[in-house]
Amino acid sequence: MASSKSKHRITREDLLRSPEYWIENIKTELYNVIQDYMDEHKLNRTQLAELVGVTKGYISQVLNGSSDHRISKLVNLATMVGKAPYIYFKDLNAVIEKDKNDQSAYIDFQQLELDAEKLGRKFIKANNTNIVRLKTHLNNPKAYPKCYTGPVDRKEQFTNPPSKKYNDVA
Amino acid sequence: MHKFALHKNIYSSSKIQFYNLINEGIDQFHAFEERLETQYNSEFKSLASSILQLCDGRNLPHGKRRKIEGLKNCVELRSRNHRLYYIKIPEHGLIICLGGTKKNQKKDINRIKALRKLLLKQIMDHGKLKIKTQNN
Repeated sequence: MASSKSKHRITREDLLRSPEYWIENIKTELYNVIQDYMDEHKLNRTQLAELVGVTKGYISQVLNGSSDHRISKLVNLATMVGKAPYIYFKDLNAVIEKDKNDQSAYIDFQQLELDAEKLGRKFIKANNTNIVRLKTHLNNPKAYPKCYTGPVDRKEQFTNPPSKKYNDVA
Repeated sequence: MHKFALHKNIYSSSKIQFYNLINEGIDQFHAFEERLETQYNSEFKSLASSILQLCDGRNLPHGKRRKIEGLKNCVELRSRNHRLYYIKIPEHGLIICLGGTKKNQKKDINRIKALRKLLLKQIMDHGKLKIKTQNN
């Protein structure tokens, strides 16, 4: 089989630095979007091809992960199935460093967004509680004598949880 | 001495474990990589990417992964000209048993059938396969 053998084994770092990994990554992402859409709408390849206005062969290529997509075709297909195809470029050295610490190079953006929303809601809730406490203190200082009334540093407000920075009066 | 042991696959993660089968002292995954001509490096990277993606819990496109008919828990990872076969064995994870070409697919599937039998026999007779550490 081999005449000129590869001399060095391909390491994880080699793989993450190779275009092949990122091409496969995008193909898999697109496959999952299309497959989810087909499952959700109970469509077969032919029906999906008719719906989005491409050939059945093209859908097969996408589902087989064999197509090297033109950007315009990829975007067309994504928007046809109701998805906005964001693209995000991250520093490759940072990705490799993360991988060395057993953190996946793959980013699940949907999960990331859900986590961020959850965190945001938590922050707003904590901040609102703090405002209510401050208002209550201003109305009735005797009831909550320890409440912080000094100027609020906006930066600190974002970096420190309110309950630790300010005296908890609840 | 036992015929089979395992190496942890370098593309494996802590979430999903992939192992390379060591058959009579030869790591089958490394042997496959070394047999490949440099012109197929790109295909090897594509197969390795599939392992990495499976470790992230992602579903692969139909053309990249296929269950082998009539052979329980045996899966084939596919590139244009090459195939990589793995078996899921309880309490062991996923074991890459063999790599080969598309041309020799039928022969390789028969070899996998035979290998699987021998593997399960060794596990039945001598317990879990030993995981060896790799030198490099």
